[in-house]
Amino acid sequence: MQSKDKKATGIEQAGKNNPFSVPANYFESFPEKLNNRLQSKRPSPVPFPERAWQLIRPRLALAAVITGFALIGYLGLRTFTSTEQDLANSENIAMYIDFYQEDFSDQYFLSQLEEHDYYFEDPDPDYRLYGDDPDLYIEYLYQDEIAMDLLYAEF
Amino acid sequence: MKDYSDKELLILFRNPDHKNYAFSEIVRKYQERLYWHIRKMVVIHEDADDLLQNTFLKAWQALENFREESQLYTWLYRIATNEVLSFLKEKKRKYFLPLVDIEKELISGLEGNTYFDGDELELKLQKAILKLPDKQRIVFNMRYYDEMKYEEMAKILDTSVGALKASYHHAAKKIEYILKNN
Repeated sequence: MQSKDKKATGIEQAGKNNPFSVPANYFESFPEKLNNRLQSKRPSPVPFPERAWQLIRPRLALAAVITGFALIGYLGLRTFTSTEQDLANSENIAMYIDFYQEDFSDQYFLSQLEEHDYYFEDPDPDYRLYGDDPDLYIEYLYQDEIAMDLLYAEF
Repeated sequence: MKDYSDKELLILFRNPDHKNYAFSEIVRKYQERLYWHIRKMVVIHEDADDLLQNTFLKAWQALENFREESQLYTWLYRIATNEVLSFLKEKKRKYFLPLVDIEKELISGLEGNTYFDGDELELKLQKAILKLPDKQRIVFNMRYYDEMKYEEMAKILDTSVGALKASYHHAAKKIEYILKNN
């Protein structure tokens, strides 16, 4: 009796039949349904120019970034070095003037005027009163307190 | 319609001209077996349908890299099993449902199910099976309904034959107990 009860409530009693079912034509229509879902997942073919652009674009962006950095670096470097150079040039000019200052004697000045056949344009004929004596010219220049730096520049 | 072997299907799949056709054939060949494997675990047809689609979508994406270290059938079964386990885990996590509530939800899904044709005894058995932990339930279904060999199950579930035998034994005992005392 006990054995009968056990059998009546046992797993085997329920059998191995599949108790579930599916909607009509489910398995027949499943591949098509899946295929539609796959189609939406598959990437659509891209036309060549667009595909080429897609390939080129990241490389182009990278090249632009590198060029940008190089340009910024170059400009920065140039600014820095040119400032240095300007300073160096200014220093050189000052040193040059200091070094050759004693050469700018009256005699040297006059010899240079003569050598280069330089003359002062003089709209006033009275100005010729000084004649050809260079000492008179020099005196005139001293009296008028002409800035020496302007004179150097002119020279 | 020709019945292709798995090897033939894989060769066809690797040919770009026949890739779609080969995959359709793989779907036709294995859809029913995988569906029932999934359905017994999730009970609701709509859930099983979603998971079956996800299984084949993942297979489509990964089939190019399939190295044939296992059989195609075993590989597909493994994907489906992982999908099912992830689904159940996600369901528990999403709704913060304790194990008992999930079990109740599955049982209520069974009782009001349009696509359940079983008799009273079969319903009782299904309810008892739903009381088992997920992994034990998979083992029981594969062995009891699909009559799968332990060696094959071991490949799909990546578990030793001994562990599977013990798992099935425990599951059967529990079901016997539930049926007897219900």
